[in-house]
Amino acid sequence: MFLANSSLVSLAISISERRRLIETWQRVFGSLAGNFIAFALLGLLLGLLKVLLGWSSVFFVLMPLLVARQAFQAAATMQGAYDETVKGLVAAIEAKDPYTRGHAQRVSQLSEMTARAYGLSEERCRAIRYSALMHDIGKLGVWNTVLKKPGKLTPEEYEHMKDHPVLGVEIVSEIDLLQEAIDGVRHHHERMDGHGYPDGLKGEDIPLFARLIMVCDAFDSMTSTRVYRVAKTIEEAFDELRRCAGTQFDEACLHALDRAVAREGWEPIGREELDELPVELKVEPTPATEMEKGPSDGSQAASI
Amino acid sequence: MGRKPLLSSDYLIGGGALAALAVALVLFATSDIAHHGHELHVFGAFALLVAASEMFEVTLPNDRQFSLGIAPALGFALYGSIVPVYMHKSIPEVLSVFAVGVGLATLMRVSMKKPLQLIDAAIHFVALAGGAAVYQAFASLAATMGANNHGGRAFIFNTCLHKTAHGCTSTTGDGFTDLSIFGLLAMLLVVVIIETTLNAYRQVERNPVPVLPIFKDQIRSTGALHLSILSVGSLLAIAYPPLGPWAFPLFLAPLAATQFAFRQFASIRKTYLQTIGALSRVPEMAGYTQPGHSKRVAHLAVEIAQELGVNQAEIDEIEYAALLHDIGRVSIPDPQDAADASKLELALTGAGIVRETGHFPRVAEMIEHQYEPYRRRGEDANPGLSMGAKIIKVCSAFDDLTRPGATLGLSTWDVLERLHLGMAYEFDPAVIQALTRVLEKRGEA
Repeated sequence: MFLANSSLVSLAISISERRRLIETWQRVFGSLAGNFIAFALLGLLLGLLKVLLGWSSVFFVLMPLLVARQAFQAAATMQGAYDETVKGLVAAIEAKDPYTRGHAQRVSQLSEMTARAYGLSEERCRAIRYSALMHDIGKLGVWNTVLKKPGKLTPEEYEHMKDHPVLGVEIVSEIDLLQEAIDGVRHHHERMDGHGYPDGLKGEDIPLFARLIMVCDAFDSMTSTRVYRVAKTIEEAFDELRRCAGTQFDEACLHALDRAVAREGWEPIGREELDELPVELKVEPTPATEMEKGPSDGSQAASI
Repeated sequence: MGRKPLLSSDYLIGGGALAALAVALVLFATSDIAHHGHELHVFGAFALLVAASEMFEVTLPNDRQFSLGIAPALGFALYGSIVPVYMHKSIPEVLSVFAVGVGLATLMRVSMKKPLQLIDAAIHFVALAGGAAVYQAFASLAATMGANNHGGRAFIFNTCLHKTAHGCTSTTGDGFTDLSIFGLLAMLLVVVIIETTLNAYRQVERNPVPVLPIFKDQIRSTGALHLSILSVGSLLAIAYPPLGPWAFPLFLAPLAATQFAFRQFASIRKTYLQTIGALSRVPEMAGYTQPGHSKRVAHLAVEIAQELGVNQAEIDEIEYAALLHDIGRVSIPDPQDAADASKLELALTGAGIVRETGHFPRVAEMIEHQYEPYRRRGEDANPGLSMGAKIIKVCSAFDDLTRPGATLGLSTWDVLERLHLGMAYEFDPAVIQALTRVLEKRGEA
């Protein structure tokens, strides 16, 4: 019965979303099999109890399960409230800069998708969601004047800007997150060739969470419209990321992002509003306005 | 409770439990069960089960641990009254089973270097004694009623222990007694009342605050748990005679589900608070407010709220609001302008941020009203102000005047005097009085 049910549901989903049937079935089956087996066993158990011990035993089994269900439900409600509250607060905090509005939220979503495509466990996928959501939280500790400066930063200002991952760790380390998630915040500006900051880690030494967040961060920056340029298309962004693969980004993570975006889709931000944009922005995405906060590497700038 | 100093009530509870245990053990040693080898294995099995369940700890929402050894002990008490062969099995035996189980669990805890839960076990012990006694009284009452008049059976569960071709026959003839539903309810009531009273009393002894809200919170946080525990205990009692030790997994499964659910809830709640606490540091880090301000305000606000007898759910919200009361400041472009910005506007912005997340309308409202005076000249006290807003107003003002490096360099006493001057107009006198009491307890005033 369960097999038939899950197959039919998957068929419907794969028709409506035009995905491969097997893959959908695996997902549907995977998420429901545990539940189904548990309920089947529970039904069997209750039946047995009724026969063996009478109705009162059924009542005595159901009562604690009901209480547990209540607690589970309260936990689920609270988890939902938690997610929304953290999202809301992070969004409010980053709202200071209207051009990065929603950035953290999108990087969070992208990172979770990418981590899933990379094959990480469900628990780690959830952890990277929070890690990515708060990856730039330390920026608030950076002087506003630096953050909002339209032109090139002085070396001193740039050094100060580089403190933001460390400041971010100072904040998130108060939360009981996986250590990986905290490392993700600290190292999201490292580079594969070791020229990143704050610790100049190289290649595989960079924690996986950081490598994933790095790629997603850069991807979202490129596909969002900023004050100094219009968003790139998905293809343009991937071309640019591929150019930097190996030196700046981890190739495996980039592939995972590619797969995730191909599977779940992604829309560049702000391109559809091209016509409504102020005139000077539309006609002048020239090198002069293409201000880079940092060394003159395109995606490095985009990822700050 | 490991590291906290023992209270006088702890000695009282522990001593009482030990004395009762001594009596129980003597009675047990002289009773029949100790002389009948074939009954000892039941005793041993239940004691092991108590020990195993005692290692299960449910984390309550207030972070207190609640170990579950009382569940099989209750089951044993009920079992004793179900199976007539053991009818003489009485309270001393039940208490002995529990004590032996707790003793084993304690040995395991010592070897695993886990914190001991002896006072909690003593409280369970007292509750168990009360519950078992009450149930026995009800069960014998039901039995006489059942014997005299079959109407008595309307009040009992049909446990169907003895199945015959004609269906279930119980209570009469075959020697099995049913569970009395009134007895179970009375048992639940007595266990909850004893546990809640003792725990609330200990809490109040540690920090003298109004007892009624604590009592209510205790019932709210453990009531459902006790219902579960008694249910699985009853299940064990009726499942053990036909199933033997096979009843144990049946008993442990719902218990494990309960424990898992409670732990998940407690862990999310904790992460929630930690995250809000962490994010509340953002305005400080950006230089809008003094380092540590929101944490100190939140800490003080919680203490004052407890002092005023606010319930736990509202205390949680007050804590969130206190942590986030300055969040609106991040809307100012430059920290240097923070002093010029309108406080009311910042409060509104902060409230808007919290309101937008959609989950804490009351927290948003507390943040919005954090600068509202208690009452304006010539008017009555503003009835629309929530307790949280009034508390945060006082705490924030207090911290601004006393924080490390405060420019005025006033003593705590001077600051209290200043706040007293603003009493009745700026600040709620009740909150100021609570603040004074909290500071006295801390030894700061």
